[in-house]
This record gives sequence, structure tokens and C-alpha cells, in this order.
Amino acid sequence: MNRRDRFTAGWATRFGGLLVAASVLTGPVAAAQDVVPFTYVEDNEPSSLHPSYVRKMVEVRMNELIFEGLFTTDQYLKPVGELAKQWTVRRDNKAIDIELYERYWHGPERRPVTADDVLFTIQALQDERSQSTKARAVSFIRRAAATCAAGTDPCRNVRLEFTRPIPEPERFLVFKILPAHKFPVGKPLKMRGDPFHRQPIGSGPFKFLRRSENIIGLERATEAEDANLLSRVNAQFMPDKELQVRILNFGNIHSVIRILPKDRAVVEKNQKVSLKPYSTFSWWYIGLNHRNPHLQDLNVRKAIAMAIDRTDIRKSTLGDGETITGPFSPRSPYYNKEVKPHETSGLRKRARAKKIEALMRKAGYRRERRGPRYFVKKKFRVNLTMKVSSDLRPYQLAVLNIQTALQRAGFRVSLRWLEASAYQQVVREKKDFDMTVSQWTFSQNADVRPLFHSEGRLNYINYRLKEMDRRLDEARSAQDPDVLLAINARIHELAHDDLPYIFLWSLVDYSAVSRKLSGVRIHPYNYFAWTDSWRWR
Amino acid sequence: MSAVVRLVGAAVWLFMVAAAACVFVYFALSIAPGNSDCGSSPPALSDWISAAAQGDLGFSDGIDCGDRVAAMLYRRAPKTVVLLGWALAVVMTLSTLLVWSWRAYRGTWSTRISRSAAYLFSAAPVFILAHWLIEAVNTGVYVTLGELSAPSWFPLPVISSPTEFGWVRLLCAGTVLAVGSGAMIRTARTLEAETDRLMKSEAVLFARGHGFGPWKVVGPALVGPVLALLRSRVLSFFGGAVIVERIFVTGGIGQLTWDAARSRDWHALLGATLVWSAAYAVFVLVSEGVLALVDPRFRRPEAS
Repeated sequence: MNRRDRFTAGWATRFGGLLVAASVLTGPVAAAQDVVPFTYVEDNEPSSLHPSYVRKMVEVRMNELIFEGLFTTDQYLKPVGELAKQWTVRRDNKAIDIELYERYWHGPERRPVTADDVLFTIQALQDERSQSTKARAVSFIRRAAATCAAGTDPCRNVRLEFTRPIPEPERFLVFKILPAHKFPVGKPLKMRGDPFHRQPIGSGPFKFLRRSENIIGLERATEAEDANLLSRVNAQFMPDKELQVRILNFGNIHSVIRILPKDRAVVEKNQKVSLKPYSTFSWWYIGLNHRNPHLQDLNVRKAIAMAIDRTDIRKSTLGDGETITGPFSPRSPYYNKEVKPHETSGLRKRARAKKIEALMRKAGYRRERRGPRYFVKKKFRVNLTMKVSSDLRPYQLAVLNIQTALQRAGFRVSLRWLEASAYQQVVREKKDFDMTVSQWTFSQNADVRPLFHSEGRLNYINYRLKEMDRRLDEARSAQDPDVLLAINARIHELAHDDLPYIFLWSLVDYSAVSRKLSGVRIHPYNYFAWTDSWRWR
Repeated sequence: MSAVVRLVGAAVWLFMVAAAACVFVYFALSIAPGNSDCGSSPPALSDWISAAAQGDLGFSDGIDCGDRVAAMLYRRAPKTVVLLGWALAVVMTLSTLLVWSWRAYRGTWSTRISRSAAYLFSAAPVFILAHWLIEAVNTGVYVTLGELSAPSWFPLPVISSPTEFGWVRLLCAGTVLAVGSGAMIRTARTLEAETDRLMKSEAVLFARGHGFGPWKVVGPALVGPVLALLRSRVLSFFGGAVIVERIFVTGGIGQLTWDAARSRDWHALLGATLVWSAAYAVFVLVSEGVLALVDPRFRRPEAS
């Protein structure tokens, strides 16, 4: 070996040795699959793990792993018992008797889940001083009581009585049950300052292990018979979505909850992950402030709806999904397929413009003679401000396309992006907006009453229609499922005709899941409701 | 007596800097729309100040509703200290090496290339440098060791467990901060200019004439200008730390600051502001002390 070769070999050996030393010194090598935790990434971290103070979807997903409700849904979205082992609904649908499974709270004490925990949870959520975000989830419960024989310990029987008849009440008893022994008696829950926000104790499939600044570690609560079941779960928080997609390539991230449409093609090429579609109950809309004098006129709203080619915008910027005509997801049984969209995608540009102009003329508007030719009424231009939450920044192309379509049709629309918390305050609370693009995400219990009822708490668009109020009240008191279907179909039709919102589309979301996992089924709302079927290959 | 007066003066100045920063942040946050993620209302400034004076920084309003702000800062502080300390070390080391090579190989192609590269990397925004480094490290380790043999911190910036400190992420973040904030190139330029000036000075000529090496004179004389430069850059250093901590997900006070502002976490943001302003004030005071030790021109004249 000559001098040069010895020199090269020497440096190669040093470098190789450094690499080996680095890999040995910096941590254990991942060997068997069962010591590798299932790691998934979220865009942001939960502010609280307390199921009574859920505000973000990341918190919904974490709670699904740690806590249990009385009921959950199966893969056909039918209610099944989770803590409830057996139940009987009274004939008048005003009460339900439940017998609980034998379950235990996480922790070394192994305290059983009892009727007292159910009663405590309902009472705590209903307590106004708790200011729980889940208070409305139990507002229909008039009374809750344990129904065991005297001396039975632990008591696992409970009766819930409702304020009104509720067909299939199991659908609504999905709120998470709290451990009564972890809270002081007779006092309300604390919005902040309670260690339970940080170190929750649940009865779910996974128990809370540890939390650091950017990761929450969970561990399976009971010994699993099948060694291939997920034994540990790490929720990693990484705000940068670009990074999330990049590090999928390296294999140590096993799931990204939602892949943006623009990244789908990149992820599809990755042999290590598969894209799992899941249709959520969410839908997009343009919210119109009905206090705006222009938007009070139905002809103007119809003209705006006609100006936007929703199918074209969705296909070109967002991908798979369906254009909707009313306030339900196409997956919902209440979606009225008979209602046809105000769709103008088949029309030529001129024909569409003519229709829009005819509607605006009917409303008393005409086009400017010069310049951009916006619509004016009594010399005042139709100037609209569209405020959008920065949570929709990843979809800004769709929002910009909507703005462009409206501008071309003759509506002057200025776009303002607001930070998420600012959006909540400015648009939803102060109602200081003309238009907004947003989306609603529902659980399987799609209740649109808060959105459109004149007294609805989520009716931030100032919408008032007596017939809508009447139909929504009828839907609330309906006991027959067929009657409820018919009423909701009428609500759908009414919303389509009167346009409280411009209904846009419902998307198919895609999640990237590692091919190391099999049996992956994703719940459209909770995501992790069916992890018992997830297994390592 | 004069030392006591100086100490008291320093403490008063530190308090004023911290108070001014917190008041400014309070009013800036009160103007910004949005509610806290925990649903709590903003504290009164006077209540917060009196509680903070007693060591109670309150509970988080948005990042972690169950956690005390003081505990959050205490847990995260070591990571930011490591980050900033490493960044400072990289600044000094790289700038010294660069100046040595530029002076040793003055006028050669290698000097021109290294100078251009140093300027280019320093001009790149911090977040772009961060992404490049993450991509380079991840791809390099993946190609060299493969997925199964890769170390536990792989890939960046994934964490393997809640107990992991995250040394690799911190060191990478510190390196990006040192280069991307411009501190490295500015320090190198200052060192080069001051070295050139001092090498021509009479003091060096005198030292050479008496058989001493020039660095015995030049070395201590460089401390003043470098410290003055670092003092002027320390705030942008802190700002850069916020960005790199967020990208590398280091879990330090910088990331806490960003998250607190985003989630309208009044208590956490005010607590973080207190820490940053105190750190700035301490840095300035310590740098003045070091200057007084090293450079006699900065010492007060002794009473004769």
C-alpha cells in the first residue's frame, strides 16, 4: 500500500469510527418492532388534556386515547357501548338505564370506574362555575342517579333522565367520563391551574406516561395479548408541515394526521407510507354577514353563489371531495340529494355573467361604466371585506380563487388574513366582517341548530328566518327518525334556497400512515377511535 | 462603598429594563385581538407585577392550562442556555478560524471562496438555513447508516421520548443561529479590521521591539470591540433563537415565547419577557465587568 493509499485509508477509518461512535453514544438502536412507539405528528400541542376543556382537534384525538365515554361508534358509525355494557332506553325516550363494564382508572391504585364517576362528570360539566366547553353536551340531562341495590360496592348502574324525548340517546352520551376521586367534592372544575390538565387519569386504552415540551408519551393501559398491538404512542408536535412531509421519508414517523392537497403527490411516491382517505363530517362555506346591507338581499347572495364555480375551484386546488348544496356533509343521512346546486360550471362565461347581472339588476344594482366595472347602487360600490383565519393558509389558493371569481363577477372583495385567536374574537364574537371562508367540523351528531337558529350560539352571521327557526325547533323535538330525516331534508332545502351561507364543498381528507401498520381504520372525527385494530406487521 | 453603589445601580438598571419590557409587551398584547387558549381573561398589570415581585408568575393561559409559568421557564431554561452558549462558541470559533485563514492565505483563491461562502451563508434567512441543515443531516445519516441503524435522535427534529434532552437538535439549532443571525460574519469582520489596525499600532511595534509576540498586545485589545459588537447583536440573537427553537422544536424559552404570543398566553409571555430582558441586562453588566478587567481604560481611576 503506498503512502497516499495509507493516508486515505487512515482518514476513512477515522471518519467511519466517528460515525459508529456517534450512533452508539447517542442512543439505543431500534431493534425489535415492539419497543418502537407509534409516533405521529400534530401541528400544534394541546393546551390541556382535560376532556372537559377541549378546544382543539389535537385535544379531541388525545382524549380519544386516554379517556372513554359511555358510548362510542363502530365502523358503521352506529353507537356501541364503550363504558356501557348493557342499556335500556325507556319507551318514551326520556330516560336510559345503563350498566357499566368492569373497568379501572389508570394508576397503581386500580380504582374501579363506578356510577359515582358518571354522576360526578355530569354534575361537574353542568356546573356553570366550571365553564366547561362540554357543558352543552350534557345540557339535555335533567337528572342522573345511581340505581344499585343498597350496599352494592362498586355500584355500576346508573339512570339518566332527559329534559325532552331523545330518540337513540346513545349518540349523545359520548362525552368522556372523569374520575371523581381526582377532584375535590362539591367544587367546580378549574379552567386552569389544575394538575389534571397536565397529567390526566383516564380509563381508555392508553394511559398518560409523560409530557415534555414537544412530545406526549402514552402507554397501553393493560397488557395486550397480541404483541403486535400498539403498546406505546408518542404524539410529537411539529408546526412546520413541510418538515412533517419530509421526515415521513425517513421512516420513524408513522402517521401524519392530515396531508395537504399539495403534498399528496409527494407522499404517494413514498413506498413506506400509504395514503388513507377518510371522509369527515366537515364542510366548507362562505359566511355572509346578514347585517351588511348588500348581503341582506337574497338576489345579491344568489349572484355571489353563481359567481363561484365551486367544482372547478375545488378540483384545481383541493382535490377529492364533493360540492355541497346545504348544511350537512354528504356522508350524513340528512343530506338532501334531491337539491341541485346553484351550479354554473356548465355555463359559458357570458351566460353566467348575464345571469348574475340579471339578479343584481333585480336588486337595484348596475355596473360602473368605466374602470373595473364593479356593481354599484346609488353610486356606492359593493365593497366587501373577506376575513379568513390563518388556519386556512395551507389552502390559500382556494381562498384566492374565490376572491378572484367574485372580483371578476363585479364584487369588490378585499381579503384579510387573521391569526386564529384574532379571527375567533373579531369574526365570531364581535361579528366584525362582511364575508368569511371557513369550515365546520361535526361529530356524528350533526346538529345545525346553533348555526342557523336566530338564538343559536354559533349564529355569528346574524341570520334570521322564521321558517328556519320553526323547522329547527321541530327537528329538536322530533322523536321518529323518519320524521327527523324529513325535517332535516327540508332544512337542507331551505338553507340552499335562502343562502345563509354559500355552501362550498366537503373534502376527503388524507392521512399518511406507515406501511409497517396493518388494520388501520380512521374515525372521521376522533381519528383514534378504532386503534384496537391497528397492528404492527 | 463604590462597589456597593455600582451593584445597587446595576440592580436598579436591571429592574428598569425588565419592567419596561414587560409593560411594553403587556400593552402590545392588550391591543392584539384574540382570546387565550385556556379561556381565561387577561390579568391586571399591577396584579401581575406584584405577584411577580413575590416570585409567582401565575399559571399558563394558553400553552399548558395546568402548568405554572415559573416551572415551565425552569424546565426550558437549560435548553436555551445550551443553545445560546453553543451559538456563541460557534461564533467565536468560526470567526477566529476564518480571520486566521484570511490573514494567513491573504489574496489566494481559497480565501476569496471562503469569504464569499461565509457571506452567502450569513445572508441566507435563518429558517432556510435551518431547513437545509435538517435535510442535509437527515439525508446524510439515512444514506450512511440506514433507517434501522440510525441513532435515536434520527430524524431531526423528531424526539424519541419525553425524557430526551435533544442535544443534537440544540447543537444544530445553535450552529444555524450563529451563522444565520449574521453574528459570525460580523464578528469575523470586526476581528479582521481590528487585528489589521492593531498590528500596525505603536504598541505592537514596541512589543516586537522588546521581543514579545504581538498577540500579547492584540489579544486583550480585541476583547473590547468584540464584546461591543456582541452587545449590539444580542437582541437579534435572542430573536433568532425564537425562530430556530421553533423550527428545531427544541422546547426552550424561545419556542415558549412564540407559542405564548400565538396562543395569547399572557402569563407565559410576560414571564418569558422577564427572562429575556433579565438575560439581556445581565449580559450587558457582565460584559462591562469583563471589559473593566481586561481593558484598563474601562476601570475607574483609584483614589490617589
